[in-house]
Amino acid sequence: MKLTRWLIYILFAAVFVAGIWFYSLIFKYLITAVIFSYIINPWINWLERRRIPRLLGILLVYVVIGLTITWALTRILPLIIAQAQSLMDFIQTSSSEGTVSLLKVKFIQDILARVDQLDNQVPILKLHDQFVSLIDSINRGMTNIPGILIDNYQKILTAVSLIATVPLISIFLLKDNVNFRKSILELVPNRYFEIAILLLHKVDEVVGCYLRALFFEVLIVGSLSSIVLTILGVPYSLLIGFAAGFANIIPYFGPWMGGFFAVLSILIAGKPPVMAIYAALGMYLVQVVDNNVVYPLVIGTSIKMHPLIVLLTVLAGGWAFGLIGMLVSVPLVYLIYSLVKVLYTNLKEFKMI
Amino acid sequence: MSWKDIGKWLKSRGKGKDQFKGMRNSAILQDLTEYELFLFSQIVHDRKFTKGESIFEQDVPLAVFYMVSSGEVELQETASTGQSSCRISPNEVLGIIDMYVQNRRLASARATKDTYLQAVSHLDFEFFVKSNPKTGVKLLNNMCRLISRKALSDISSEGI
Repeated sequence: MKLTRWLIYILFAAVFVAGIWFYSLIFKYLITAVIFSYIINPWINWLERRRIPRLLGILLVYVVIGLTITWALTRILPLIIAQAQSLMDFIQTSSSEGTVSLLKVKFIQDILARVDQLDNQVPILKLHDQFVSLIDSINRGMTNIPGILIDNYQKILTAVSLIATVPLISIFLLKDNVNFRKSILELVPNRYFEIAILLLHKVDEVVGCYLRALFFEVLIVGSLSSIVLTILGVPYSLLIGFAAGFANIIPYFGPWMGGFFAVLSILIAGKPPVMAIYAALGMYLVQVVDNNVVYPLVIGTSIKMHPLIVLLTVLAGGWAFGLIGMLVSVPLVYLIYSLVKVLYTNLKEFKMI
Repeated sequence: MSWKDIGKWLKSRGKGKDQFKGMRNSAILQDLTEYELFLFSQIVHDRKFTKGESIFEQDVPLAVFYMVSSGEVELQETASTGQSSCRISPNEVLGIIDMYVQNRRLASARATKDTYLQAVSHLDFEFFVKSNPKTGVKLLNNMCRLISRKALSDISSEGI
């Protein structure tokens, strides 16, 4: 009897491992679909409360998203592409003309003048050559960007297939999310049922809140920054605005990065330095609106982590997984921390440990 | 088999299977419409407890309240003055008062027979009431009625 039971356990484990191996290839699609579903689920729930069947609600939301994307592709994307093209031309020119071209930028020239002045005062420093070599290496780094895009075309194709598959998987996740949730909870023994419910709520709260926060923050801060920078006449305003929106995902440090991009683009374009101050003020204004209107209205709760821990987490995420690691490390660490905390507190409260 | 029986059968087929039969009889779900029951069913979890199995212990936090579908539950409260117990039968609800008193269980509960319960997370319940105010009012009214009825029966059993 005992042997039979062990054999069944081993069989279950083998099936489980085989299942994980088999589905591991589509795991990233599933995770992306879950994220997408989390973002749009509240809208479908809202429609369902107004007696619109769930499937119809999903289709309606898809149509609205599709129309918005089409509008963005036809109206905003050409502008962004034009700005990106202009930036690429600038980089290419710098590359073909070597270091000299980048040294023609007024802002760089100002710094070089200061460096030369310092060299005259303290000749032993020989800062001129070091500065020119630094600019040269930046130039080379920037010219590598098109190469990186060409070398990674397969990854770009994977991203395109991801975009096509994710909405399809999401339809099923959104339509049957209640049943999925119930099925998971059915597996939980009665003794742990209440703790499992509390844990699921915490996952919903942290993941749902944070994902919606990401989505709306990128969209709203990106749009507001683009508008403000365009009004101020900042070059590449749309590109910088949406880069600022994405950077805003990183708590504490992201907002500063947006301002930094704006100021840098003004200085590189050789615009008057006073414009950099206006741009910084404009970006600060966007942050004030975000912190006092958008965030409380759209998200409500925020991630409560010490800035030092956020900085260390962002750095560790960046070193381990690059840009994506920088963006997702903070919510992931916060989610795990929250779950462990809720689990420990409740196991104690329910007198299980 | 008469024509009348065939008519009844066709009528029942037309209506389809009553998915919410178990819920409809619950004390707090009375007078909810079919659609309201459908919406509420999304936050209901069916649980089965065997005879003698503990449902919850006194003084632990409350995460869900239970509606008794079938079977029987014994509630046992241990206080400084002594122990008291009562039996909860089908269609009654466990944990409504606890939910509004420090969110802790005021008594322990145990199934005295094989019992089917329908569990509702109190966080889901609060969200449901907020997002469906009309149905929420019906639910809260039914809860008030249930508590008042319970209080009246306690008073009459104590002979006041």
